[in-house]
Amino acid sequence: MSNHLTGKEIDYYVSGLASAENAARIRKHLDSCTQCRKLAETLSSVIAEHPSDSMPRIHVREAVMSHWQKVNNQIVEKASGEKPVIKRFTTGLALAASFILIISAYLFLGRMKADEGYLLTLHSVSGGVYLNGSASTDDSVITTGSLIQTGEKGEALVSASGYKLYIGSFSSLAVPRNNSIRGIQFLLNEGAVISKSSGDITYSFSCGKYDVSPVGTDFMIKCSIKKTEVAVSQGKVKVEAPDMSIEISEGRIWSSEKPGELAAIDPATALIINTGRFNNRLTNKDTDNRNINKPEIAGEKENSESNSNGSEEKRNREEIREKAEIKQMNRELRQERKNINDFRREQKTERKGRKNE
Amino acid sequence: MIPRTEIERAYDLYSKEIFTYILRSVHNRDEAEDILQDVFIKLINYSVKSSVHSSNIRALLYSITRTVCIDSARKRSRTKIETTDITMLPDRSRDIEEGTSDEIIGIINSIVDTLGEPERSIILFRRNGLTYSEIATIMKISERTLKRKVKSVIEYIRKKLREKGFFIPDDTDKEDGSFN
Repeated sequence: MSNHLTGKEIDYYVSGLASAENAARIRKHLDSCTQCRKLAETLSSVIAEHPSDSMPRIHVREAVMSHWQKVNNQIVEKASGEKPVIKRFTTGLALAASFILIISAYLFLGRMKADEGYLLTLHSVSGGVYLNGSASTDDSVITTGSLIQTGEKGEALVSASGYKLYIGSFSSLAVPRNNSIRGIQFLLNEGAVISKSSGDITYSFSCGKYDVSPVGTDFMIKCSIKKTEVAVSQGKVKVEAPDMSIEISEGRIWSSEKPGELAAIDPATALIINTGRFNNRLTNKDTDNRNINKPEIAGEKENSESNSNGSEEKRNREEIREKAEIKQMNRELRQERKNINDFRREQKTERKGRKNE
Repeated sequence: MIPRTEIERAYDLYSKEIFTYILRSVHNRDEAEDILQDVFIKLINYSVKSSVHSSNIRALLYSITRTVCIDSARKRSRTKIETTDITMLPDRSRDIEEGTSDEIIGIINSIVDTLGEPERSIILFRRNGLTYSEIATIMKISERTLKRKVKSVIEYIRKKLREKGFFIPDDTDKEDGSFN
């Protein structure tokens, strides 16, 4: 038998697992054996207390106390019920605001929907009459944004309750606004119109730089690139431009060639206004200019044979344009999706970076 | 929630020893301070939901510290700061008397750092002066199980030292079982 303790004896002794009896025997051996004692001491030192002078710096204490303060404040706020009340209040407020918004939007949309303006219908009197570039069918409804054009022999009638608007040949009339509150606005690009009002309909005309608004009356406007004429058969009409304003009374005719003067209406014009029939003679005298200034589609419309072809061509052009727009939209969508994906990837990398830290 | 005076008292009493434990675990002063702060913050947060008695604050602090240190060790890809590489040490045939105490301490510390859990925590607790009873409470294991774990560590270290030629009064491990 060896003169030394076994490794196992020392392990048990050092870790405190040895029985009291064995521990006493081992201690006795250690008293007399330097080598075993040294081993036992060294192994004991593994699990002995190691004093240390390391101290954390003061900022740690401050951070801990400040955290305590923060948590305490939160608890106090919660207990006093201030925050929840504010929260409830703000939540309630937000809900109320949302509710009001929804109601307003509903009412507004409802109003928008209800307010489709005056019911304006377009009747073709003779020749080519076109609504929004297509041959007009009778009683077509004119809405905001409609464009009415007439060809060489074209005459049309736009009517509403208590209102009639005769449109002469080679005319182009747009309706930028049809609103029961603000009235109808006509934009006479070119040609001639006769306006006959017998109701309380609100309307006005824009003709180049001139704004023509009635004061309850019948009148005729002729508009070309060279001049604008307004002839009044009943009531009064006001013509306004940035640099002038004139009221035309019954039986007078005004021309932009002499904006400060009024002349008497000749009987032929008076007849036209009264009957509402242009008879293709009196609308525009400056036909030479018309070819240059007539609406793009008007030229195509005059040839009755090419009518349908023209419309078809226009439809084709629109289709092509629509396709191009869709393509562009898709391109933008793709780009947007790409941007979103890039952004997500960046966020992911950032998160990973933070996690690793 | 723990009263301010109580948290102040706990910090003044235990921050030093907790800091020592953390420092021995992470070997980095700045990181140790961060973890110490984190430990006390966790104690405060814990005290909001559960009651904390002054009698169990120390054990609670150690329990939190151990968890935070293990988490922190998992998170970082730790580069070993201990300098002693046991493979570079002198080879065999050394007698116990020849090993200088610094050298031996270096070797033992490097071995402790390579230990897994819960062995490493147990050694660090012991080095911080905790009794078996206290460690058993913190780790929620029996004292006997704890001692067995300590024994396995002592045996492991002894064998590692023997591999390097230290402390070999008798190489034979007698299996008489009389110590159990």
